[in-house]
Amino acid sequence: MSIKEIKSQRTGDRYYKINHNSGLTIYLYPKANYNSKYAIFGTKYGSVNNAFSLDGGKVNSVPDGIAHYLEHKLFESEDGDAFARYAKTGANANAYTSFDKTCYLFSCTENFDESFEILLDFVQSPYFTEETVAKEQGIIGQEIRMYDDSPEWRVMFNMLEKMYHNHPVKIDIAGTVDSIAKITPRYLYDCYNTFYNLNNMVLCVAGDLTPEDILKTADKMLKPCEKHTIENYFEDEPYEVVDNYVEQEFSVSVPLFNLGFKDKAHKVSQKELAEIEILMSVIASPSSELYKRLDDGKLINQSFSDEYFSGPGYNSVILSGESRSPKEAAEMIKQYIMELKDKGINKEDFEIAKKEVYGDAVSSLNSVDNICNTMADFHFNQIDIFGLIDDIAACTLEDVENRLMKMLDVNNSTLSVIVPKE
Amino acid sequence: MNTLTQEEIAQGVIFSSVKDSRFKTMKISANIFMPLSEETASVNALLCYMLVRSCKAYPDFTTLSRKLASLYGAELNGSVSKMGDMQCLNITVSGLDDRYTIGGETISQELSRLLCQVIFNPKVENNKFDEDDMLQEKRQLLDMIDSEFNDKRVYASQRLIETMCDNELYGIKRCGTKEQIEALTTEDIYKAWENMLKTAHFEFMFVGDSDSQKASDVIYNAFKEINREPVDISTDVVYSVFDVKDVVEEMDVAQSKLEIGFRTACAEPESEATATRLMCSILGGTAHSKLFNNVREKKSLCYYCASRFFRLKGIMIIESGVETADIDKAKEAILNEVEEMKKGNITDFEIESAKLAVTNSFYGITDTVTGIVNWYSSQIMDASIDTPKEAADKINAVTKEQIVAAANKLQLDTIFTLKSK
Repeated sequence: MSIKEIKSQRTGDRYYKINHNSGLTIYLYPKANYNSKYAIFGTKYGSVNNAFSLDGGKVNSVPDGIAHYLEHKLFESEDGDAFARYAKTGANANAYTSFDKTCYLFSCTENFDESFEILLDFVQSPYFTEETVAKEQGIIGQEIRMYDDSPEWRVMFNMLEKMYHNHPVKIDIAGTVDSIAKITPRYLYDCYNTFYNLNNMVLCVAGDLTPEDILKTADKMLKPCEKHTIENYFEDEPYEVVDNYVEQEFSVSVPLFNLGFKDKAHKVSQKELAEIEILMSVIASPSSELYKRLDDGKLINQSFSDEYFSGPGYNSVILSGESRSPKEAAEMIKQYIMELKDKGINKEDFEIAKKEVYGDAVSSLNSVDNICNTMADFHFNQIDIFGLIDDIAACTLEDVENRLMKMLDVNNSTLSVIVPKE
Repeated sequence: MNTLTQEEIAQGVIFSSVKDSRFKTMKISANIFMPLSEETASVNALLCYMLVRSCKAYPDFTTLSRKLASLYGAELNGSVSKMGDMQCLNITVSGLDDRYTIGGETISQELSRLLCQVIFNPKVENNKFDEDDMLQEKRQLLDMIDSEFNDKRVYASQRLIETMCDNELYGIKRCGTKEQIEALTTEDIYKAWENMLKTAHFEFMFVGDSDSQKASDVIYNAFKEINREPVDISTDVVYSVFDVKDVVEEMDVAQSKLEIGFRTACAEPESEATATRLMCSILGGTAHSKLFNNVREKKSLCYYCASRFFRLKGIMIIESGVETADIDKAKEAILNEVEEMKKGNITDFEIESAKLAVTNSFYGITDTVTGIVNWYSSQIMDASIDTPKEAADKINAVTKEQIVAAANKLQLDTIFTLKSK
């Protein structure tokens, strides 16, 4: 086992990275004089991992939505559910499944050791029976129905369906009522045994704690895992989008849009992420020239936002918001990107954007939940939370201009629009 | 966290501060209270958004946004809400603490000045606000009201409150109506601004490591010029229900929404609301509450089923999303859990776990700047302002008899169903 202390000159903060004998990587971010303690236990396994093999064995194809279903079912064990156990400690527990990871978490102010033990225990103790699996159909069915009524959710998946030909990122994280009906205990155990291996997982804790506080429970609870080779299979994905426009009528009053620029799939480095964040601020922050043009043209409102959306096998930039004229807004955005590529970025705009991104990155170290969620995500993507802040501070105008030339292909985008029903 | 210090710096103007060095950021929030009324709800709401769009010193949205971005992504936000029968305009500035800037800038001072500039020196000329700014903010406010319809859970809970309180001030929407907003002029907004400075009740709150005295001085000086006649703060509470309202609205949606409203016959500041708060948590405030365990987990009827208590108005609502075919089943299951509470069928475990969950959330809330601001702001109208520890002690002292008594005061008032066609 090794414990490494990592310090940040700029923020005065530090964290510990522990390579535990069990195979698990543990991060502890001490927060002196905080009442709150937060822990997150995550696996690099999300909705896109629907075809995989273990140690070169046969390829398993599993029903859509199974990672999320597994997340719900893991809370149950032979002797009751984890929520009932947390009820005795007062912790606030939850979990979420995204495209590329599944995370279990709790926050508390008292009884940390007890809650921490519950977290480590139930995530390592699968218990799936025909009966318990069947019971969840109704609950998750209603979760899917709730998202069916969400225009923000629909506008994004409509876009992903027209951006990606084959990649499973276009499939709803929770699957469909039909796909989840195919889920059996056998499938759940296959997925669990593949991805819930401590070598494929991460544990992040933040609060007024020391490494010893964490390790006394971790040493007791973590069951050592042998390292296996997990292979994920994705069909070949063409560079080009499927279609550049998709529209759906919906029960809304204001139309919504998502404009996605599909990029070549690649792994994003820490330095690249710093450049992208500054570039996105240059383009889409309320202080930008583009924002002013869109606002003057009455084409967007306060809901306008940007996101760099990436994971295994998919990279894209998504600009979204409400708009009375989504097509005009999209045209103006594309026009502006072309101009920027042609004329380059204004030095002052770059400086302002850099300060903005730097301030946001440092501010995000305020809260224990932000820290843990970010560290878990960064661990799976080999990014260091302090290193990113340093890279932002070191970023030059030239770096960001070079980045711009490599992404945001205006000829490879999809506009998705939700329009009010007649 | 250090303790709260409070000072009345002008008539009806309170300045509070909490000095705390744990955070990377600081925040100054202004809560501005005016009575809810049909005539003024819209103009006050529009005024709030106009004030954060521009000011004399930064006369357009882009100039102001660039100033904020260059202060390491500082934020200036406006929002409008209801607290009891009062309309609350919130204007907040927040940014990086001075210790963490690369160039040694003093952000806290710049932000205190900026907050005063937007409140006291807006872009006005000849007793009018700017026409173009007004058109932009009207458009955005109308969009915001329309987009509340996009989220069906928000929409359904708003319709419940509207139906339930249709003859009360609380039934007025927080931003008034679209028709009223469309009819407003730049002179109307100017008059509303003058009225606000003269009559509103102001609560300023400063949280951060830097010195709050300078901010307090700037605000004190700004109010010296103003002849203040602050309004009274009060809320009407309904204690008895005569007819239960049952409203069904059909819509083309996948999932039906069930919204059930009760009168709690207990509201701050007249009554101590701690027992009602705990009762609401036992019923549907956590992932081990009666509603979660029985309606979701045992009956598999829904994904969410939760209760909320509005302690200034004396209302509790229960919300759920269900299949249309299950509406009656869900309604029966929910009301059955309320009956169980009234009968006193509550285990010690349910009480203890709710106490733990509620007190844990109290202690944790002061670990963020926003949490501290919200903790104290939300108690402005309560009978007393408690620290998290004091509030937790009150929760822990509640007995089962008090919980059952609080449950027995619940009176079903309105059921609103958004039914999938």
